[in-house]
Amino acid sequence: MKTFRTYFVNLVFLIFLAFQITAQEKEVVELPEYSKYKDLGTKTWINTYGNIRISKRLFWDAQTHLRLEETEATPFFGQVAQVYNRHAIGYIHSKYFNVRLGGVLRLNFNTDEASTDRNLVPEWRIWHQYQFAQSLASMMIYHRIRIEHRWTQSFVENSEYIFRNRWRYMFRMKIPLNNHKLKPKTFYVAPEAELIMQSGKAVVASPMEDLRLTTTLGYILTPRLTVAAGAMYSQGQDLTNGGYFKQSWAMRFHVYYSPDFRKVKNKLPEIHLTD
Amino acid sequence: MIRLTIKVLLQFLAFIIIGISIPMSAQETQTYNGPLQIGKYNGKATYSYKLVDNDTVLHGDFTVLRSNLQELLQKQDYSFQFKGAFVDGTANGPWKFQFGEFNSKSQSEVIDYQYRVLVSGIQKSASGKIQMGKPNGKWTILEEKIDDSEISSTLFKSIVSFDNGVPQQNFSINNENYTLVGRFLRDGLAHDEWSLFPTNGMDQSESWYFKDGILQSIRVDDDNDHKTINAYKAYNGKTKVINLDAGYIKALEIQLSQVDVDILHHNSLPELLKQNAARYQEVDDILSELGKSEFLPEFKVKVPYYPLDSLDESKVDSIVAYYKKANALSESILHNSQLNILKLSDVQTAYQYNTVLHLKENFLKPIQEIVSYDSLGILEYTSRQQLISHVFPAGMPESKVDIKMQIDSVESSKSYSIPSSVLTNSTNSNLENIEAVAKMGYDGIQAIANEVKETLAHEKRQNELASLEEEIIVQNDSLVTFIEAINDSIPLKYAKSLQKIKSFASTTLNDYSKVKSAKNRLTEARNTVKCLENLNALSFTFSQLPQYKTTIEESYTDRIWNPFMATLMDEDIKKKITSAYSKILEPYFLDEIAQHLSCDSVGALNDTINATHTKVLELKDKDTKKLERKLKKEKDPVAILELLNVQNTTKQ
Repeated sequence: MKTFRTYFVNLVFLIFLAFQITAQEKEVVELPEYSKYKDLGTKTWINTYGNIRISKRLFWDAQTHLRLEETEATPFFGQVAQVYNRHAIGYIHSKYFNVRLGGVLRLNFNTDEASTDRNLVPEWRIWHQYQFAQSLASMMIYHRIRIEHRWTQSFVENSEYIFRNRWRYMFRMKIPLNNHKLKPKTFYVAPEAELIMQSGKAVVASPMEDLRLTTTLGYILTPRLTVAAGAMYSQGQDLTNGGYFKQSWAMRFHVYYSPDFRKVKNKLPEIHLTD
Repeated sequence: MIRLTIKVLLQFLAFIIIGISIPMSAQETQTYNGPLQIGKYNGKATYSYKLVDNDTVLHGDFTVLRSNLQELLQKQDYSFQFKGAFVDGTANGPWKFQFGEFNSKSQSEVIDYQYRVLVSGIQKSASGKIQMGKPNGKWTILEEKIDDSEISSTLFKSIVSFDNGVPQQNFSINNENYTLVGRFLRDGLAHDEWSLFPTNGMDQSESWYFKDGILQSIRVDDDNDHKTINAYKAYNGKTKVINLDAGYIKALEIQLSQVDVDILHHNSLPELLKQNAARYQEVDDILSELGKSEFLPEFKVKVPYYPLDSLDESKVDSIVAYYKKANALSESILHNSQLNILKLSDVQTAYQYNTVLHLKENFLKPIQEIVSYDSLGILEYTSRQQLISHVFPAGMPESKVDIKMQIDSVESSKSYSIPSSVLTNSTNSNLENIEAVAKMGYDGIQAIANEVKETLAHEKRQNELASLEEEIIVQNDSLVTFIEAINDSIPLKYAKSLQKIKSFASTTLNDYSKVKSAKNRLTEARNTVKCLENLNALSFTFSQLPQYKTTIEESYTDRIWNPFMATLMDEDIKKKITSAYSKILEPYFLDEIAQHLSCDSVGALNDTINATHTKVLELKDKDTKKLERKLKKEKDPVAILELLNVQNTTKQ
């Protein structure tokens, strides 16, 4: 039943896409009387976050994400869904504020097992991010505003790019569990909530793209290496029909690393920033 | 015909060449205008000179002067002006030297379209003729006090006539207190009456009667009496011409009785001559800077001459040598504080001390006088007999005397005999007898110095032992107090080591108390003090060990920015070094205390611990990649200390 519904939703989505491009103005989308939740999907995200210091205040943000999705036979990691390459140059203004600006190349795999369209399409983004950090008692609180300008296309041959903006706000806490502060050899738990809104010509009735609720358990190995794993529930409006809500569960695995290849003598007096 | 022309041409050329070279080699005088430094005088000069072998030789008029109005008005100015002439680098002709030190109250007046500034100060001047570097004719030297540009008083004035450097005829010298007038023979020897009378007219006046340079007698006049003192009147032996200076007066005094010496003005006659000579010296210094000069007046007199032959001279030398040695010894004995205290209670020391006093008074003091005559070079100007009766008015000192002592107002006396191989003897020559006295004095003092040395050495040993034992107690007490005070506040493993140090100290103390022999005791006491000092230092170092560890850990921690957490985190760096310290070296130090503590090694161990700490801290900012690689494999503490380049002397 569940697989059938998923299949059906996908089919509708594809048909809709096909119509949207070829006969967009002809097709009228009808909102359901009540909002409808689609079946839960399951995913696995494996993320690496590199933060490579290049000068006193500048760093290179290098993220690679591998996102897997269920197949009918295998939940969570049956097939590759997306491969991310997210890069940026960041500027550390202070301990409590940093910004970054960069680009994303996302490779989207066609996860529709029945589709005969293209198997792989690229997606391009320009993104910038503003992150505020503050300490509260033994924990840290983060507010992250990320704005993305994305160009996507469907798997249909010769489909054109559509442009959308994404407006993302994330609230996150990191709470040390076995220490009075976040320091090496510390477990921490990080609850987070991110709301992703979108806008653009193609966005008519589905501004809320995604709401992600995550809890992660992390372990700080050294000041330069942290690992974490968590579970995320997310839901968001379907682009083609705002009355339909996608929802999914994802397992997330993260590796955070921050090497500093600068010479010791350049590095020593600068680590402290304005401390 | 052609040949003739060439010859003429050659002649002409030769003529031209000679004609050019003659004026070139002729020493043409040139004139210099500019700054000049003469000794301490720096002024503006104008002079003529010629070049001889590239040397500047003064020739012709010469002027150098200086005065600075600015400085005068602000504070004080020294001015000078030297004016005269040279011939071939030697002063010749009329000269005038002026030196002044003035200050001004900034008072000025305008006279004849000129500003005049009134000055006060001292003006010195010297003027007269010079003939080839030597004074010739009348020279006047003046020192005047100037108040508001008026001469207020004459501080010094001397008028002497010279003939080619030799004083002639009459002269007069006066300072603020005395006036001296007299006259010379043509050869510069003092002659006839030299009168010295006081400027104030109140004091006595003296008349010195010379005959052909030899002082006959001195007549002293005061208001109601006069006395004539005979000098060399009766002498008709060999004489020598010398300068009339302080040495001459001293030689004269040897001839006179003490009463007569006391009557005479104390050296005021040579003092005047000395003042006069000093002023001539000033002029000579200036002239010597510029060229050749012999500008010193020599006031000559004749003295009786008793030359010393080489044997006599060697005797004088040995007298001087004996005196110097004996004097140094006696000073060290008489000023020794321990002896000074000891003589108040110890009869023997009082006897020794008073003997030295006696020897100093009766032997060294007369000899000292002779030594001073020798240094003035006047021993030859007196007969030996006269010398002996002058320095030993009561006769030669006896070699046997009674030395009196007084202790706690109890008087006692003990006879003393100089342990000397020589004695004075009436058959000996006078100089031999003086030498004998000098040697007796030296032998006597030397003998006592030897006796006293032993007293002092024994006393010193006793005192040292007492103070060392005191020190042992102090050191041990401070060790015990220190260890007990910190025992509870430091981690147990360190506290245990400190307890070990404490018990070791007590063992050391026990060992010392068992030493019986007096000689060994002193050595042992020194060693024990040293050992306890080292133990104190070591226990202090041990009390610091927890702190050392923390310092090293803190020093080897970097604050790292973690961008994901947005926090600074501590990162341990160079872990191979810090763990070598905390896991191998520190346990090794603790083990050394527990197992191998000894007085011989305790100082070195302390040094090693401190040096290691310092070294480890130093390594933090150094390139230690190679060292870290080596440390990775090394587990032996001694080898690690070597790798760290710390001198490890605890184990040989």
